[in-house]
Amino acid sequence: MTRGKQKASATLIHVDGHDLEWTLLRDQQWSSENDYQGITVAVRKAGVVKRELILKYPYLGVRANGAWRRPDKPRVTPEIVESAVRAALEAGWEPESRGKPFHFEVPDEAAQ
Amino acid sequence: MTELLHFEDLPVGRVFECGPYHVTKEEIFEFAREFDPQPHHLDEEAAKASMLKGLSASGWHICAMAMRMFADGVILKAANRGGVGAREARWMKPVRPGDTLRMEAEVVEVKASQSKPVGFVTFDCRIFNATEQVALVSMTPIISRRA
Repeated sequence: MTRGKQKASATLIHVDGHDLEWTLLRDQQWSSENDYQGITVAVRKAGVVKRELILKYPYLGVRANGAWRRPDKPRVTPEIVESAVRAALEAGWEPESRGKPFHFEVPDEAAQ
Repeated sequence: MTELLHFEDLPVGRVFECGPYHVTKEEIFEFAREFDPQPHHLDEEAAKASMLKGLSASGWHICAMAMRMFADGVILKAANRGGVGAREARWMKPVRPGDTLRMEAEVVEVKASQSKPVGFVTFDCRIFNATEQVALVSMTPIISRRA
């Protein structure tokens, strides 16, 4: 038996004149190697191969103080992706360009 | 024949319910004799005097049981190309004789290879003991073929 989405599928969003699609690459997680890590989202121009945007969010949730604690699982909404995309556009991501992915650390104010 | 699960069938957030697996005293002794011969896994009196206050399965035995549930519930249903190790293995609570275990394996990270028709899928695996306490947590990446 399984729960959750059965197939990987991109969600469409429209941000500042750009038709984009995003997929969740990583949920929040904890490891002894990397401590708490936030979600990672891939964003690209819808339907064409262009420079991808990789959004790395800060960890959103309660951190364990000593004992292991399961990481919180925030709901990833189009709104928090849109605000992070706007911040990335301001930081220099050009959705129409080609080349290696543009990695962007999402600031706290754009992650909520 | 059921179609195999490929990388695209394993998005972040998909959860597989695996198990059940019934734990017997005989199997605890057998595994411990072969692979982890510490007194508290081999002798009930020594186990009572131990930190866990009773006979419990070796942590490595719990990992092996987890692997069996993961194999039956996910690996053998997937276009799997192998594993690349386990990132975490934490023994949280003891597993006792008579426990029936179950496992939740949740996809928490995916990464498509840029050069090969495969992707890396990381599962957050949680094993629950008879009282629904998390007995083991582990992070297990597998390599899965793309569709």
